[in-house]
Amino acid sequence: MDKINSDRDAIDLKSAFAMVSHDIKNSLGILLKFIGTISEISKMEGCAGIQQCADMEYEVRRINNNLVKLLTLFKVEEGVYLLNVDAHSVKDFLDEALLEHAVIMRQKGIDYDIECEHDLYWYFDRNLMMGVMGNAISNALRYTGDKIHLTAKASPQGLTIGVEDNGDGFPSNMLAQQDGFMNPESGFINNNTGLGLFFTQTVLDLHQHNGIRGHVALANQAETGGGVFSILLP
Amino acid sequence: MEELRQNLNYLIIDDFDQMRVSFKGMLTSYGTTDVTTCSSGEKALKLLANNSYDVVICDYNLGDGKDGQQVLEEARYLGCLGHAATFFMITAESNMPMVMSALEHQPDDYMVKPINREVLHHRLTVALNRKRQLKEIDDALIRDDKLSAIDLCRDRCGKDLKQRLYLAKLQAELCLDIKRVDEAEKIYQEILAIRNFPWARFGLSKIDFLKDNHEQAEAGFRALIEQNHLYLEVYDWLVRLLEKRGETEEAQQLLQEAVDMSPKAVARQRKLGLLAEHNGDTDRAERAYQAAIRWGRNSCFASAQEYRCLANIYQNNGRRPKMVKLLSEGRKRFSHQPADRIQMLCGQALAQHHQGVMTGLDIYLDEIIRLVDEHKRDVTAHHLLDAADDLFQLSKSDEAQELLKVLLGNHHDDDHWIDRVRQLMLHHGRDHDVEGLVSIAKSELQQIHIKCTELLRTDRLKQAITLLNDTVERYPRNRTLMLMASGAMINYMRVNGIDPGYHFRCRFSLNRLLERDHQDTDAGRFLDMLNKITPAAVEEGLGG
Repeated sequence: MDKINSDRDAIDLKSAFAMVSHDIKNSLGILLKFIGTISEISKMEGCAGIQQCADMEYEVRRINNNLVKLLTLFKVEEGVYLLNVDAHSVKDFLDEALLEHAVIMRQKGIDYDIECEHDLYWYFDRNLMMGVMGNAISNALRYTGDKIHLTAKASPQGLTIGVEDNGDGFPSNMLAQQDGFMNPESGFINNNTGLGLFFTQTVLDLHQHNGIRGHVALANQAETGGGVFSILLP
Repeated sequence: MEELRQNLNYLIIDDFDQMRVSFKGMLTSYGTTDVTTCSSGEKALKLLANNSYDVVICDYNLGDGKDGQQVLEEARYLGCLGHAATFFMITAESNMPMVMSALEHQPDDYMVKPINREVLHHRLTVALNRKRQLKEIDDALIRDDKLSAIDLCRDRCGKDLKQRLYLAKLQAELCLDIKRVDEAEKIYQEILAIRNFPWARFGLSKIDFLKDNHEQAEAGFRALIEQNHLYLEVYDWLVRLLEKRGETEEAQQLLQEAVDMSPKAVARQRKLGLLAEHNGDTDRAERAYQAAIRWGRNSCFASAQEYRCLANIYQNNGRRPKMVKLLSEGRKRFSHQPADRIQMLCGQALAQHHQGVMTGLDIYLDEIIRLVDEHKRDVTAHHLLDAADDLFQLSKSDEAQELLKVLLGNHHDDDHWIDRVRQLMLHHGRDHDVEGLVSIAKSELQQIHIKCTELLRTDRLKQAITLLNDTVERYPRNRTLMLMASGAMINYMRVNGIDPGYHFRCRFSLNRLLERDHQDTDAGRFLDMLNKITPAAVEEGLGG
C-alpha cells in the first residue's frame, strides 16, 4: 500500500472507531436498562432468572471495560488523548466506581465497604481512572468470596488506592510475573489480565507528576489470603 | 445516599428513542414526574427558549443536526439556559475536545455511557449540590457583573479542593476578560505550582500575547498544540499572533488544520475564509465560506459576512445566478437583523445593477437608506463603508455620502476610519468632495468634544452630560463620547447620589461598548466603577 492510501486509511479508522464505539455504548446502555427491568420483575415475582441477570450485567460491564481499554490505548498511541485532570473527591469517585456494579453486587450478595477520608481530594482524569477501577473491581467481583474492600490513602508519593477481595488470591505465578505483564514485549497481549495491567500502567503514566511515576501492584493479604490490587497515583 | 429533590423538571435530548425512554425511566424511578424529551438539538433550543428547566441531560452525538456542544453554546449565548440550569453532557467516550474549552462553554458535568440508574442518581445529586453552593456567583454572572463575581471567587475560596480549583480558574478567566492581567497571571502561576494544568499554561501564554511578549507566547501555544492536537482554542490564539505578525499564510494553514478537526465551528470557518481571501487563495476561501453558511444555517452564530463574501467571490468569477440565489437566502435569513439585511440588500441591488435590470432597484435603495437611519446603533463602520461603496457603484453618491457622514460622526477621532473614507471617496472619483465631507463631520464633532472637555474641566457636569448624551443619541457608535458621557455621569452620581435615568443610560452605553468589543478595557473599568457606586437595592430596582 502506498503512503497516500495508508494515511487515508488511518483517518477513516479513527472516525470509524468513534462511530462504532458510540453505537456500541448506546446498545450497552439499553441492554443495562433491560437487564435492570427484568431483574426487578424477577425479584418481585420471585423468579430464578435473577442470577442470570447478574451474570448478564457482569458481561455487559466487561464488554464496556474492554472497549474503554481498547479506545484509550488506541488514542494514547495516536497521540490524540486529551488528558482532563481535575480535582476530585476520592470518596465520591470510589462510591461511583462501586455504583457502576451496584446491581451485580446486590444480586450476588457481595458486601462492600470503602475506607477513605471524606475530605480526601486528588488530581486525576476521572474517566480514565474510572476505567482502571472498572477493570479492577470487575476482576475482584469474579474472584471474591462475598466481600470487596476499597481503600484510599494519601502519602507524599501519591494516592494509594487498593481493591481487596476475600477470595483465594492471585496465583503465585502471576504474582511472580507481574512486572513482565507491564512490558509489551513479554507477550502480555495474550492474556486479558495482562492487558488490564498494561492499561492501568498506561493511565498512571499519563498522570506523571514532578517526575514521579505511578505504579500498579498485585499482592495477597497475609491474614485472609484474598487478592489485593493496588495502585499508586502521583 | 442523599435524596434528590423531586420537584425538579428535566429536559432530555437524545436522537435515539430507546435512550430517551431509558433516561426517562431512570428519572421516574427517583420519583420525578416532570420530564420532557426531544430528539434533536434544533427542537431542544426551541423548548429551552420557551420553558425553564432545572436539569438538561443532553447526548453529545445527535445525528445529522446540531451536536450537544452546539446546543449548549447556543443556549448559553441566547441566554435561554441561564446559569441556573444544570447541564449534563452524555458522551460515548471520555475524550472530547470540549473538555479543553473555556468554562463558559463547558457543561456542568459529563457522563460517559453506559449509565445505570445508581450512577445517574449519584451524579445528579453531586452536581446539583455543587450548583447550589455556587449560586451567588452564577447570579452575578447572569447580571454580567464580573467584578462581583471575581470578588466572590476570591472571598469564597471554595469549601473543598475541587471547588477551590474551579473558582481559581473562573477568577482567572474573568480577570483576563476585563484585562486585569496581573491578577490573572498570579492565579495561573499559583495553580501551576500545584500541577501542570494545560489550561493554566494556556492562560499564561495568552497573557504573554496580551503583553506583546510574542516569542514567548508563540512557544507556549506551539508546545500546547504539540501535546494536545485537539486543543482547538489554542489554534485561534496562535492564528491571532501570526496574523499580527503578518504571517498570514501560516495562519491560514494552521486554521485549516483546526477546521479539519472540527468543521462545525461557524466563526472559525468564517475566519478561515477571510484569511484565505487575504492570501489570494480564493478556492479555499470559497470552501470555507460555504462551510460557514452550511453549518450556520441553523445556528445563532451565522453572520451576513460569509454570505456577502461568498457572493463577492461568485460575482468576481461571473457566477451570477448562484450569487443571486445566495443573497436572496441571506436576505430571508437575516430579515430581523438590520445590519445584516443591509448587506444583503446592497448585494442584491448590485447584482441587479450589473445585470442591467433597473426596475425595482429604487425599492432596494430606499430600504437601505431607511434601515441605516433607523438602526444606526447596529450598523458598524464596516457595514457603513461597504454599503457606501455599493451605493457609489449604483451611482447614488448623495446617499453614499450620508452614510459616510454617520461613519465619520461615530469615529471622529479615529484616523484609521477617516483614511478609509478618504480612500473610498477617491476610489469613486469624488476627489473634490473628500475634504469637505471629512471636515464637516470632523469639525462638528471636534467642537462638541472640545466644549465638553471645557465643561468637565470647570465642573459644569450636568451641562456636559446633556450635551454628550444628545450627541451620542445622533452618533450612537461614537465610543469616545460614550465613554466621556459615562465617566461624567458616574462622577455626578458619586457626588449627588444615584440618578436612575443616568444610571440606566450609563449601564446601557457601557454594555453596548462591551458587546461590541469584549476586550474594551475602558468600558470594563467604567462598568466596575458604576457597579461600585450602585447600592444593591438600586440594582434590583433597575435590573432587567
